[in-house]
Amino acid sequence: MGEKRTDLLRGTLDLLVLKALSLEPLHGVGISRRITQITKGAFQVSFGSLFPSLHRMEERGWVEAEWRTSENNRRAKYYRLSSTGRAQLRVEERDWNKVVKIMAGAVQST
Amino acid sequence: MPKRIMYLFRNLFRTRTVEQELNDELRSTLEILTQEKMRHGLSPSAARREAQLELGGVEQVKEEVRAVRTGRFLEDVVRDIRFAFRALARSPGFTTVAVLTLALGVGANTAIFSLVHSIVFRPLPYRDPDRVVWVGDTDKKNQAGQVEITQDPVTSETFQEWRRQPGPFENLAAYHAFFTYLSYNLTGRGEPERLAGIEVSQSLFPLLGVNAAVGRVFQPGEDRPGATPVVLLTHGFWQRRFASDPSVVGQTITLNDRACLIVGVLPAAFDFASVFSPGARLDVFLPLILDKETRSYGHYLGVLGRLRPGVQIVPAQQQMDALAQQEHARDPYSVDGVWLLPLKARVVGGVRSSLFVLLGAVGFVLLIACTNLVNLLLARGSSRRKEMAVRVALGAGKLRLVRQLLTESIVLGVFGGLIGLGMALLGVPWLSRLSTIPIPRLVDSRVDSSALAFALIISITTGILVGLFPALWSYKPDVNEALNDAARGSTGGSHRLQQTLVVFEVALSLILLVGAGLLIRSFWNLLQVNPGFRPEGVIAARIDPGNKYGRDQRLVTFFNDVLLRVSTIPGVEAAAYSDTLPLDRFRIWTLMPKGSTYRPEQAPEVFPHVITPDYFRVMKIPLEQGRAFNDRDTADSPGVVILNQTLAKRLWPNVNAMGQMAKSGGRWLQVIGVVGDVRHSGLDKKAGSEMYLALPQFPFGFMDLVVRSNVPPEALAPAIRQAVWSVDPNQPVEHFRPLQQMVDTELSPRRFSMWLLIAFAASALLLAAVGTYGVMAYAVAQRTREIGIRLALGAQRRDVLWLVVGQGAVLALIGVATGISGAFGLTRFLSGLLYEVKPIDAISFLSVSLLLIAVALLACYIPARRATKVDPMVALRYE
Repeated sequence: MGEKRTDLLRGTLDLLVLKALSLEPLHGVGISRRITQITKGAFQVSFGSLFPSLHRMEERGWVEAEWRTSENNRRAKYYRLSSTGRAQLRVEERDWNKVVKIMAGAVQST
Repeated sequence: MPKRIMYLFRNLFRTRTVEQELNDELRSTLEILTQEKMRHGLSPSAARREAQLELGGVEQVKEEVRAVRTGRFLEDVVRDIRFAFRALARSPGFTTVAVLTLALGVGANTAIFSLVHSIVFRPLPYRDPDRVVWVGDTDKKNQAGQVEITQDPVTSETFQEWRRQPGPFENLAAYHAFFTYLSYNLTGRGEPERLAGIEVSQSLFPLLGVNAAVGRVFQPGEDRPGATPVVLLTHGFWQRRFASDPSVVGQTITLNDRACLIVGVLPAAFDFASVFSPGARLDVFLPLILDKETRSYGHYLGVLGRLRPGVQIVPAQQQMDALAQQEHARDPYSVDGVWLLPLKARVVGGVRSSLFVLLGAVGFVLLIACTNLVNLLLARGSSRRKEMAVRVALGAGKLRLVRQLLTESIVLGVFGGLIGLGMALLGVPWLSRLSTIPIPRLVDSRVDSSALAFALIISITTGILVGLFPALWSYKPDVNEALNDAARGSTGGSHRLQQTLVVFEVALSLILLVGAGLLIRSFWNLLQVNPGFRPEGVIAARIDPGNKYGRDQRLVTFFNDVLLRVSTIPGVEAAAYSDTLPLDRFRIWTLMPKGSTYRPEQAPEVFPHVITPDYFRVMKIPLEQGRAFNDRDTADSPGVVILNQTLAKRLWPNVNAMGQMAKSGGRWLQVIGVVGDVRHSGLDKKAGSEMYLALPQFPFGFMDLVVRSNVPPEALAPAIRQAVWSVDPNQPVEHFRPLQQMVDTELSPRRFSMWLLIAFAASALLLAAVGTYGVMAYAVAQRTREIGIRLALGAQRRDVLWLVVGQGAVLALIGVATGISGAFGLTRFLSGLLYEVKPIDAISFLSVSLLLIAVALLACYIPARRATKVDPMVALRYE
């Protein structure tokens, strides 16, 4: 993934992470796999981007972290959406839809 | 937000836990990934390798996470500071020079700022000080264009008249303006002592908002004629004489043979003298009682007024003008006119300009210090080009580098500032203890919180400014070029800047040196002034018998008895009395020549001195005509007067003054002699009209005994004291003053500003020399190869010497020329401090320029000599 492209996707990464966590708490690998799954394999988030995003959102209070034992009896750090995170998800979804509509219109207008 | 703060603290102070957790998280991620790969059928080792590949470099991920943490900026700052410390510690020579240079600049600036702030800006320590005004009696028409009026006391009649009128004032108060001349003999409590005291009206303390520290201040009525005598002690006197014993309040002490009740002790912070008569000392405050007798004292009251709330000074002035005109119309002797001046302007008006000059001068010193530092940093920057280039090559952002370099210079600034602050903390108390210098509020000067803030701000600002220049200038790193290292020529840009800076600092130091030179010349001129008397070898002692002998023959006999015994002390050449010593106090009588056409209110104003026959011999004042007083000039003989030359010429411009008649103090006097002029009001002020009167004909309550001898004052003082005590064992004689010391005190404010300016100019010269040396030495080092080639091609050592010295000389000359044009513009701000020197004085300008050029050439010569020692073979191989 090139430098330019990460920049483009920086705004969308937070949205994808929030979206991935909206069903259930997940650890880092889980989030990565969920994003691949919900984007039908289009995005493969590198951990070098994922962890900074998670930690930033944790400090902002959008997600909360907790150490739990995983399905395979491993201790892992699980992230869970907080109520502010949930609200943030709604805001970002709305904004995203707006951008998509505008951009789609703009691209088709020629 | 509180969450962010929590994380901030966690990230900054529990870094270990945070890092540990991050580490755990990445490790567990790696394990989860490995298990996942194994479930897909990979062997454990292959799975682990794949997992590591997917996770990416653990350290990189960690760094990415750290970069988004709250408080990352602060962490970087801390890291930069640590790094700066290490970098500075690696070059201790550079660091020492830089820190000391800054310390000098910041220290001098903080010290002078403290003085200016304490003396000029800090409000006077009174209640609502802005409403307190000085009310002087002066004819404003005669003072046109003159800002500073020092002789404007008010008569007791006028003061009482003003106080009766409802005018613009909430309150008016008066004090004995010539209080340094008052003395109170403390007797009955151990050794008799002469106390310095002042009479103030009861309203003074409430007007200033000052309360007693122990007991109370004066009560209404205590300053009316016939009131029970009371006294207030100053804090210093209370400590010194009564060991701070609070029970003295309520006791009585005997002052001038009168029992006075001690009603209170004034607070330590109330230093009346430092504001109203700097350099003086005060022990006691007594009520100012205005009665019939004080009406004959003339203009002797200093008057303060507190304006009513909301009243401005201009309408108040108009109101008082009207009042003064009415009075003047009724009684022309009583008042000339009135002028109102904010008290602070009156108090500090005289020293403001010299303080501001000093502040400007230290500003220059700081500028020069900064210039030097920029030069040092530029040189250091060039030698670190490679280090910087390596960092850029390794991925450091340019902003990051600039920030790092700025941190370094700010650390330098703060260190320099701290040492400078230490210098100011030592220096200002030392300056403020020079308590004999008559500079108002000097004794209260200290490094206060504003000065601390000032020091902090200038050191950090200096650090930033000084660092910004070189950081932006020399780090436009073309990585390849710098790493290739062939790029010697590429520092040419910064070298040009360095040369400009040398020119700049030479110019600044020239301006400071010219200023110091002008002050030295003024001071020298003043020392050459003939004051009209010879102070060396004369000591003075106040003899004040109080009311013991009344004001008649008994008093004169007492004085004469003392004089007789003092004259017989071995080593005494001559002894006499005067009631007004030169450079001491001032008063005005009138002298009306017989048959003159002066209207009464225009009678010539004359400064009278009451003396005994040998006064002119003691003071070595030349007798130009006629005779001095002698023993036959008694109370009953015809009245006689001796004039100074100025007065003789003024009253009788066309005829000889000898034998003429004139009237003063209601008595006809014949002129029996004319003596040389004495500079009575200051060495820089020409003599006014003065006359001398004979003590028996004008008996005065207290006198200054003046004794000329070849015995040192310490040895003479006990003998004089014994002589006085043999006449009256209860007569204290405390205070012996060498006349030379009075002259020195008179000169001390000038001496004060002169020495400070000399110190600053010398620092400037030193810094400029160091700066020039540094730049030239650096230039030589940079040109080693070129010089080597020149030598190899046959250039003589002498040519190389000239090459370097010539380059330095050109810089010095440009700097001197720039400085001279700057000095032309700036020295006029000094004109108020100069004496018989023009602000544009060829001698000062020329000598200072030569001095500076010589120093600059010396600073170039050392590196130039080093250049001639270059070995061509070594130089050519040099890197």
